[in-house]
Parts: sequence; C-alpha cells; structure tokens
Amino acid sequence: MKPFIKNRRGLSTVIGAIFSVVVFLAGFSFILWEVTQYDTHAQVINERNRLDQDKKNEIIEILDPYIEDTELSFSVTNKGSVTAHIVNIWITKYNGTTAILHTGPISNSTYINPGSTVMFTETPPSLDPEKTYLIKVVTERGNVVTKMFEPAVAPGTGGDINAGPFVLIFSDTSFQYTSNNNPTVPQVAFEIDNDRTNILFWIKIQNQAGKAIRICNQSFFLVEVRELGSGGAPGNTEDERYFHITNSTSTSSSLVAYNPDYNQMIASGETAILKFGASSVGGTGFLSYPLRNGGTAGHETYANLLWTFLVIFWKYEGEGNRFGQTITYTAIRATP
Amino acid sequence: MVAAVVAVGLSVVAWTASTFSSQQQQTSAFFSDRSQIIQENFVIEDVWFYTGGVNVTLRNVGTVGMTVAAIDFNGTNRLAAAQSILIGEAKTITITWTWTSGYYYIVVASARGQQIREFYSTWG
Repeated sequence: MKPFIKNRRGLSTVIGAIFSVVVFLAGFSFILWEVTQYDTHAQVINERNRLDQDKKNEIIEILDPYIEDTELSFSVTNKGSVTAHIVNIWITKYNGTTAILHTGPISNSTYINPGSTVMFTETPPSLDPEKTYLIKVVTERGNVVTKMFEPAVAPGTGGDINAGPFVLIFSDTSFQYTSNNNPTVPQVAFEIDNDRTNILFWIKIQNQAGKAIRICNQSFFLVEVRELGSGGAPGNTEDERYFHITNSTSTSSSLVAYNPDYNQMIASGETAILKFGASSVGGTGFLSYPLRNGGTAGHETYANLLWTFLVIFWKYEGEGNRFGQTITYTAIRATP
Repeated sequence: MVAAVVAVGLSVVAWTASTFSSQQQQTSAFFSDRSQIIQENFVIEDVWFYTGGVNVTLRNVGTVGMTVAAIDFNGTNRLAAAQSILIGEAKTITITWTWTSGYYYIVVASARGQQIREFYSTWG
C-alpha cells in the first residue's frame, strides 16, 4: 500500500476512469428507463387499440318493436363477436318528423352474449301507438344504436298492401278520381256519386323492387258493380267495369291514350300515379255511367257497394320478361 | 492533478445527473400526457333541444377521467363551466340557451384537447 500511496502517478487516471464509468452507467440507466417508458406507452396504445377493436366488434341491432297498452317492447340482438353491455336506453316520441317527448336516460345493465337476443320492455309516458318512436340503445363501449318505430298503419291511412314489387297505400291521397264534376282536381275515391261520368281513377303505387318497372297498356282497374234489385235489395248478378290505363297526362276532360306501350316508368323506391279510365286498351273514350249496375233500379235512391281489383301487367326496365298481378284492392261506396 | 480530476469529475457527474433528471422529467411528462390522451375516449350519447335549453349527454368510455372544457354550437362555446366525468360515467350537461330551429354543428372538447364533432337538428 505504502508504495502505491507514495507513488501517486496514475491515480488521477484511475479517478477519471471511475467518474467516466459513473457517467456511462448514468447514461445507460437513463436509456433503460426511456425504453421502459416506451414500453409502457406501447402497452397503453395496444390497450386502446384493443378497446377500439372490441368496440368495432360490438354489433347490436334493435328488432321488432311493438306497443302493447302502456309498454313499448323491443329486442336487441348481438350480432357481434364480443359481449355487449347495455347501459342506457332513450325513447323519443315524434309527431310526424318533429320530436315532441324525450324519455331518458333509462338506466339499464344487461349483458348480451354474442348471437343472443334479449327482450326489453319500457313504459315511457304518454305512449301512443299512432305516433312514431325512436328507440336508442347505448352500450358501455359507447356504441349508440337506434331504431325508428313507426305505427303499422300510418295516421290518416288504412295501411299498406304489399303486392310483389308494389306497395299500395290506403289513404285519401293515394286513391282518388276525377269526373265530369271535378275534371282536374282529384277527390277521394272511396265514395263516388253513381251519376258521375268521365270517371278517371288516380291510383298511387310505390315500386319497392330494386329495379325500375315499366307498366304495360294491358293494365286495368276492375270495378265490380253489384246488381241492385228493386228497393235496394241486392240482386243476383254483378257488372264488371273495366277502366283501362291511360296516359299519365289524362284528365276527365280529355283522355290521352296509353301509347307507346310501357311508357310509364316507376323508378326503384319511387311512387307514381297510374290513371285508369279508358273503356278499351289504348283507347281515349270513357265508360258511360260506370258505377251503376246494368239495371237502373235503385241507383237514384240507394247507395251501392262496389269492390275492385287492380290488374297490373309490367316488366322490369331493360328486361324482356312480362309479369302480371291481380291485386285485391279497395271498396267503393257508390252514392245515389 | 488529482484534485483537479476529482473536481472535473464531480462537475461532470453533477451535470450529468442534472441533465438526465431534467430530461427524465420532460420525457415522463411527455409520455404521461400522450398516454392519457390515448386513454381518453368519450362519445355524445344524446342531444335534446328543449324550449330554452339543450341537454347534452356525454359518456366517458375511456380508461381515465376527463374534463369537458367546451361545447360549441356552430362555433360558439355554450358551456358555462368545465365538467368532470368519471370513467364509465354518463353525464347530462344542461345548457341554458334560447336556440333557434335548424342544424347545429356541435363540437365537444376535452381539457386534454380531444374533440368530437357531430351535426344535430333541433327537431330531433
């Protein structure tokens, strides 16, 4: 030891080396610490990605809403691959397209396994089956799913008939007529005076097919006029009145022939008014007193009940196949 | 000579410790901020326009608590005071304001700077 202490040559080098090692170790540990920080941060990113992925995989759908008494019921189906946790429900009442009453949040805690369906029943205030409701379901992951629930029969209508690619709506604006008395302004056709002439029916239909449809000139509106016996008693026969399709520009002052054939097109999802009034296919003449039965008994005194069929021949735009449908349609009250 | 080496060495070590410490604090704050921003996640659960006000319901679906700093309607902040929302909680924030009918572009901003933007109509 003594010789070493006596001989201090090289001591400063050793001390310098020690300091260098200390500085190096400090730098190394700082780098290690940063790597740990990066790793922790990467774990946070991974966790967020996992949560986002879970949120994407959570696919729920609201199905089959209906109203019974004071309860609004609906099902929620989990179509995703992760369990959904329903936490809140909102119900909004609409008058037409305007929201008028908002109920929520209605707290809930329901877990729905993948592939499962769970029924929910809520009792929002002032439940009205004639109104439209928006049902909103919120999950713990933040997915918000909605379903608009409209009454099966829209207010002011008698409901719809779905017939093949067509939807026929029973309403005062969907089944109308013009006549000698109202040649240009259509009126509701559920009740018509049997003295009317130049009757032209205006029937609104919707094309619910995924492709445009063209209407053939063979289409007609058939009205069955029940025979009235004397004193208004039903007879034994009936008269069939054929109202053939006319051009859409027709009025009760002037029928325009449905020419060329298939000239009226209804685009997919669109509505159109078909006009029926010609006494023959492609013709321009009206039927005479079409809502009276063959005999004249009773038509000035008694009302009569008529029933109708809508017979449509049609084809899809750009395709060759022709289709024909006979649709049981409305009833008409013919008044004296 | 030895004294000089020790003095320089101590100075270097002190500088290193100070620099690394400062750097560590900055790095730590950087990662902490970034991590919290990544962990923050919220959605607009519901907006209801009623006469004289609007209810905005927000849900914190993140893994950290959050503070709502602003709720803009067509560019104007209508939030009177910042609102905290805990993890997993939904909070309905009532905004007193006489709105006019129409569409509003709603921007909800958190204190950390996250934003959600949605269009809402006043008729539901």
